[in-house]
Amino acid sequence: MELIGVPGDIDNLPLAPESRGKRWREKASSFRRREGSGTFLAGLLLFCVMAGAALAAPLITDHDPSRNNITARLVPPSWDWSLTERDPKAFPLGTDGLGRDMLSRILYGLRVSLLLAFAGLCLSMALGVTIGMISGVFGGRVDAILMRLVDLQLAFPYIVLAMAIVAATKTSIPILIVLLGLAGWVYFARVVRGVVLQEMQRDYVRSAQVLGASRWRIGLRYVLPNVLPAIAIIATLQFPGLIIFEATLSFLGLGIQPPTPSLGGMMLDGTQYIASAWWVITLPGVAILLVTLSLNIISDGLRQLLDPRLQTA
Amino acid sequence: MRKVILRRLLQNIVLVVVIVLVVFILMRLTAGDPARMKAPVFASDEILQSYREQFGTDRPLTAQLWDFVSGIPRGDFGTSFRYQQPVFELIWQRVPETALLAFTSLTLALLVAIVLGVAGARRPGSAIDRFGIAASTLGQSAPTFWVALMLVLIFSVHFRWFPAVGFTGWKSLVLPSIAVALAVFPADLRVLRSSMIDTFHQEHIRTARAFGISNRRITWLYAFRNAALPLITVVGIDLGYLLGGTIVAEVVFNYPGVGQLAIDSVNARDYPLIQAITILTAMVFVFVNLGIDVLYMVLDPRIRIEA
Repeated sequence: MELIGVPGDIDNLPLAPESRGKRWREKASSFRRREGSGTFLAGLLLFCVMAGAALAAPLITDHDPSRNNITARLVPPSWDWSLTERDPKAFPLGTDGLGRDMLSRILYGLRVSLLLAFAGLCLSMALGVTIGMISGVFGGRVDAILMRLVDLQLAFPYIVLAMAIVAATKTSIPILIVLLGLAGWVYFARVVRGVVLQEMQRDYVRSAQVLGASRWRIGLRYVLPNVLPAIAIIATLQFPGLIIFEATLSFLGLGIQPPTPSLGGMMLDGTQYIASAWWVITLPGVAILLVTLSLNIISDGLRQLLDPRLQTA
Repeated sequence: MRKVILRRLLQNIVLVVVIVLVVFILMRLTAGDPARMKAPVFASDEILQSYREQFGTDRPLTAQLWDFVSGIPRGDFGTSFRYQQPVFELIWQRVPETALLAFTSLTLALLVAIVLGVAGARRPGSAIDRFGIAASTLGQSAPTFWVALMLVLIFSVHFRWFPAVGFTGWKSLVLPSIAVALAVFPADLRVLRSSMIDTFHQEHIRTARAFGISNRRITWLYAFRNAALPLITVVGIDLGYLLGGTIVAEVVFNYPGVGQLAIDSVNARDYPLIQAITILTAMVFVFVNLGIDVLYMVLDPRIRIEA
């Protein structure tokens, strides 16, 4: 009888001194064997490289992103990345119509984009998760009213409305963050509500109810942890959407205003030189694409790792 | 079924009324004084007042709201500050171009989604399946305006195959449609692919295979007809992407549609026009989605019974 053992016994075996590192390695290799882990890590690596470059912008480039240089207008990319000898006239990614260094503008612009989209993401996550939780846990009339609110938001041509509001209020960073936050909350609310409704049918919720736990306690202590994977998936899916939304507003001249460098604004400037200087409109878009692509890849990987059922959401 | 449709219709009418109220209030809250925008910078108070009277912004908000709401059933959405014309006429003139662009983009997106989605679902994990998934991830990640700019750069500036701006015939439709379709097809492809894979695992397909029916017949006649149902719902969601996409594409290509009009009116602070465009597009969205729900009920008996 003892020979069969309980699976849990393996974990309780006395551990050899070097076992901590070994254990970690085992965990890592079992993670790597799971479907989606490769995609997830590849996306994460790409995202870390891009975000790291944006955050470390002052270390990478010596150029001031907003200093004009009339003698060096529309210099084509030299692709010279030798950072050891910092030549003030070297522009690895060329310059724009005012002779500003493209590399430093892209890095600083990426910074602004990422920070704005992240702030918007946090706002829409807070709003959407709260509404979705309340809707799912309380149900009934509360749920009906909140879901009508979701319908209302989904029916709006949001970009037109956002354009109108931005145009009317004279763009400022707080207003942009609020607009980004309002753009994304619906998806959080819908998915969270759906998952909560499923979880509410589970036995552990019933047991908690029998033991007399309040709805708030059930929602926050027991159900919320089980909703976290879904929230993580939606967040990685929404983040690139918000980055694109912000870039689109800036491209339309309604987002971040100069002199703050923004990727959308750079491409708006670049449209003037489309026939002569391809790099001004192309490169900022490549930067956005690399970031949004990395996030979408992370999201795909997460979906496979955490919840295969959410495939189509 | 008729009862369900009527109830949905009523719900949607309430939704539209709420949309009208929200847009009106938001516009009044955020917009400054349009008279000040229109009048010269150093205009006297009398001139400003005369502009306000002309625009009707001197009267109390409730009166303005009533005027606006009561005009809508008659098709009167107000008068443009900028063009001094009924806004509905201005928008209506632009609808054919935008509808054409939206239609060609949606057709293109569905075509790509069906070809890649069905081929991928037949052999999950194959080269064409992975290509479809990669293409849809790329399409999701690329900003539409940047794709549009790249298309101009390559096909108008470099090869000179297609015009870069304006609307001069079918050639002007090609690049904007591709740019918009690239944003729309990923959702279609993912939904169709997973619904096709589900369908292939169902028993009636296995039975058909056992009968020795050819693969092509099974795919298109048996599986696709079932799997295409969710696609109809996604087209309703596509509408949102189509709308955002066409606005951006119209700006990049200087294409004379409603999106271009929307941007112009935003830049000119022409509030009656922005207001009307927002409300009308929301109405199109609401009623197209209602139509899709009804169509779904007609096509899928299971939903009819549940409803």
